[in-house]
Amino acid sequence: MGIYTALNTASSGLTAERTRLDVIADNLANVDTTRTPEGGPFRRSRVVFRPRVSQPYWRSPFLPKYLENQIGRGVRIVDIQKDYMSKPRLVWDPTHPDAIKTGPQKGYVEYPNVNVVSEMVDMISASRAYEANVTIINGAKSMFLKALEVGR
Amino acid sequence: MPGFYNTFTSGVFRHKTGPIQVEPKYFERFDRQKAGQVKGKGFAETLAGALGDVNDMQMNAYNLTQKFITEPGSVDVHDLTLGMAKANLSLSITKAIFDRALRAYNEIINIR
Amino acid sequence: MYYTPAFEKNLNMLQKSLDASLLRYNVIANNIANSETPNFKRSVVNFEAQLKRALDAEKVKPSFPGKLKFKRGVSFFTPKTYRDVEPKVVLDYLTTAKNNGNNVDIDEEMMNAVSTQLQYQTMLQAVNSEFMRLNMVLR
Repeated sequence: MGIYTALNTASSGLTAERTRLDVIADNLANVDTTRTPEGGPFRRSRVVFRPRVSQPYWRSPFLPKYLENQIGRGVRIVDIQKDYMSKPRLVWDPTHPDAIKTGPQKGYVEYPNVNVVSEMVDMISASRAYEANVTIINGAKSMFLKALEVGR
Repeated sequence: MPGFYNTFTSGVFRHKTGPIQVEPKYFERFDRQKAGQVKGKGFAETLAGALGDVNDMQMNAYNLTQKFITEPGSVDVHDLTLGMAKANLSLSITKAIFDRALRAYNEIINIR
Repeated sequence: MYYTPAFEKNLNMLQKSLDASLLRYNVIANNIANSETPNFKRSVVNFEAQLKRALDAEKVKPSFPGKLKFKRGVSFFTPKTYRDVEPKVVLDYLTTAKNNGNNVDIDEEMMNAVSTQLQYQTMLQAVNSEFMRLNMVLR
């Protein structure tokens, strides 16, 4: 356990939450984009978090010394994926330039599969986690400043 | 004081040859005490008692600390900090008293 | 005063408690940083109950300490003193998890962080006052 373990962990959390917030902002900005350069409507992106740990977490509390659970060093983002699984929203509008011309869905326009409400909820939880990490950083800083005053 | 002369004469009749020995209980209302006996506690006892109190305060601070470590919810922080402040202050006062006493002793010794 | 058992034991216990508090703070920081990763389970630090058991066991005389007689003998039934107690990081997989498999409750973790920080600072103040008392006597 080094000196700045808590600070590094909390800062990794800050980075991850800010990236998540950026992705959510991107999704919300493109909520009505019906055409992208790749063709088709805009697909929502999502982030994939993984904990930053060097060995697996063991469940049993009775462990030999070298296998004991380590602290873990925060979170990292492994991927920002585009969500191709959920279907886009279909809105009937034959006069739209991006309407589907052939097939059973003739006249429908494909809107992105971004659900505004769930994006807003994600944004709220991301900002709360961000604030919690900031509190951790402030607390760690005041603890170390107090520790420096011992014996002075 | 008629009672005084009565007891005095009775003491004289009781011991004819030896010195007059007066029983102390007749003189209690004059608050005479035996020589060599000080009323209340002596200086040595007071000093030892005070040092014991200082030690008790330190042990109390130490016990509170131990209790705070093992059961974090049972001791209030102000109890702990007050106990530590009391221990520190009592020790500091004791040290100051000893310093003054030592200085006074040196002054008295070097009077001439 | 270093050799008086009360002072030394007090300092040792304060140091252990400071170590445990710092470890607990780091673990809580990890929990909060990972509060949004799916299938993450929070960890806790167990120290105080272990220390209390070790301190209570000191008052009871052990029945017999067993020792084997040859040179590489392993001693068994040696009583565990308070010096052997170390803080331990334990995975908490029993609390209910949210929808994404994550069982970190961010409000509880923040509260734990604040209380750990206060405990750390109180212990620091106790250490400081111990050394100040020594300094005062020596000056």
